[in-house]
Amino acid sequence: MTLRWKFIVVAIILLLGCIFSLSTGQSSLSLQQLWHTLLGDGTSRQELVLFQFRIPRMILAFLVGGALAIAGMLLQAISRNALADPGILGINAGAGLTMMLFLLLQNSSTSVHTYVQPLYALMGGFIVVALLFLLSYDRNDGIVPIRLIYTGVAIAAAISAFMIVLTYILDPSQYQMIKVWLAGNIGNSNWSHVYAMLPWLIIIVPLLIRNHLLLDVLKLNDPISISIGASVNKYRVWFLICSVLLAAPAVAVSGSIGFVGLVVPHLVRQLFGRAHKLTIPACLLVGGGLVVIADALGKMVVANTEIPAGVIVALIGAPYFLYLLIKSDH
Amino acid sequence: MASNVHKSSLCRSHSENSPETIKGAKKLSFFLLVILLLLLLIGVLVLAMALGAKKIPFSDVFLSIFSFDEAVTNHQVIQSIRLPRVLAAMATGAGFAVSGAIIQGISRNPLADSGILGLNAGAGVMLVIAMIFIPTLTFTGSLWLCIIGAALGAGLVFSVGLLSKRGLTPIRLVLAGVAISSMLTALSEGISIFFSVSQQVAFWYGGGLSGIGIVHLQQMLPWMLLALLLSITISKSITLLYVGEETATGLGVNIKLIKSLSLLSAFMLAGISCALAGSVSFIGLLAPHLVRYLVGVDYRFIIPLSAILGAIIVVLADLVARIVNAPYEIPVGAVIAVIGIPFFLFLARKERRGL
Repeated sequence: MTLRWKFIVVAIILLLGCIFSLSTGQSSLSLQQLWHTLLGDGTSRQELVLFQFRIPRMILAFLVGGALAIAGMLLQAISRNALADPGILGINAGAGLTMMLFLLLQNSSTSVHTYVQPLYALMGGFIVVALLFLLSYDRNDGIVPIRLIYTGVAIAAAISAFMIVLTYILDPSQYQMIKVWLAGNIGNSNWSHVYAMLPWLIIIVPLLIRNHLLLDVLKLNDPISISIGASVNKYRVWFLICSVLLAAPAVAVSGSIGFVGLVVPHLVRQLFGRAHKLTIPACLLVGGGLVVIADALGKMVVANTEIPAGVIVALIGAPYFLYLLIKSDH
Repeated sequence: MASNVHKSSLCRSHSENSPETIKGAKKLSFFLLVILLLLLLIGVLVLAMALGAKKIPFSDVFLSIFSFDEAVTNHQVIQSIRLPRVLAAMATGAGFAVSGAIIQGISRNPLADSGILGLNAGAGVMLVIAMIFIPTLTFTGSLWLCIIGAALGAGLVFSVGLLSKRGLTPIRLVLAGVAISSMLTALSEGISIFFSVSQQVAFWYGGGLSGIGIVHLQQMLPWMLLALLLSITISKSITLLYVGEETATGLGVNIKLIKSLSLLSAFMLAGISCALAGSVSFIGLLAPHLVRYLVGVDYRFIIPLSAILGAIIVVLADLVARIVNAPYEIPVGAVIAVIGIPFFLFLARKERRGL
């Protein structure tokens, strides 16, 4: 199959996923109703459901999935380790912790807060990255990739222990809200969440595509990339910052959705090869599609409650991660 | 393994120190350590019973145990609340520590711990399922469900090792444990959100020893003791397994039997501890490593000492959890994580083997 066809197939799957996502939910819309409402012929109720709830939710799922997938791909390129992922390295947990503190401190929920949320999450994300650097840095060897993973696992564990302490302070209703958010839920999203998420992607993704060759170079051996003339460590730091800038806002609007950043880059590499020129847009499409479909499945499985998308992605992603772990051999 | 090599070279260079004297010295220091740690444990127990939301003088603690008087409130508090609680903390600590020690021994992997390996998450899934579908389940029933769950989690992690070409290296074990834990946690999260019991489940995950009565202790104690005895009985063979499977076979160890027995006792210990105290990680890492540092790699010594040290750690941690923010409690698992995580990092930094 040529690349063009692969892209077309992925796009078709994405489109079907979107239609699936738009038509499932509390009140089901048939395809016909969906089409009429899209064209503006629906009842006011249908329009409300579609334009105020379903469409922003779907777009948000897509953006979050894409952002997490690209963040994971960046981390894998930086650490030259196929098993890196913002969830495993603790970045999601850090962003989640500061978000949780933020949710605790806020008294009334106004829409202004939604735009500030990513900044809080960024704070947590950057603190974790700084810790990762400090703890996995070796004076002679630079950043030791294995150590990076151990440190990340430990940081994630530490943060979740701290979050458990926090859950004891909350009253049950607050708790249920935060729990659903933490498990990775896009359920209560509206347009303001989309607007809070979108700018980060619009700024970072083109920047990355423009510098795709640098990412390719980073994946080579350090001596080679240095001899080509790349100042490896500088770019490493830059791309690390980019990955936090993508992952943290995603966590802020959707909670922690793990395994997207791990599974999607692998799938994409198998489909589209290793050149980042192709894999960055492909990650956006596949990652977005995965979360859109997972979210729709979460809506569909049960009638009155929703299973958070993060739970469904973990149930699909963890086995795939294990498969990669079994296969990896270096 | 390194210390064994060290020991044998020591024997050769100093011919006046026969292996027997060294062995005798080790045994002596082992018994000294046991006595020392037991004294420490008793001290910690008394302290834990005296301190809390209500301070109780030491004299009352002793009196309530040795000459119980129903009319005195302090005696009532000790007998019905504090004593069961510290005993449960003791049992939990011993259980998690020994199960960690056993798994480290047979998998020859320094980073093995029931929390990291997915045993606790497996127990959690089973407990959530029980909470929802079998609300009438007895405590003993939930014990066994937790044991089965622990076996399930560990089975999944170890099968990753069996399936991969280079076996279960430490990093692979950790990553497989993380993935399986988060998968099982996602599963219990999904189920508990669906049936809206998620805060109860989260409390369980945090680990807490409040609300444990004498009844619970009576039900779990026989099984706990059985598993501990089993692990002590096979401890010599575990040492040989740690040295190497070929050596063990050469010395007449039935590897399959020993492995299954030690896994059985590890699952029982971890499962029962989970049922008592929730998902508490890192004790299985802390206690055995400290003990190994003191007595070397001999599981006849490691297992009993880990049990005592683990008990001390959890009783202390539970005390801290109760008094830091009294009269409210913080989860004991979080207290242990504060010590356990730096320790994990310390161990991991030494680990230079790749995937």
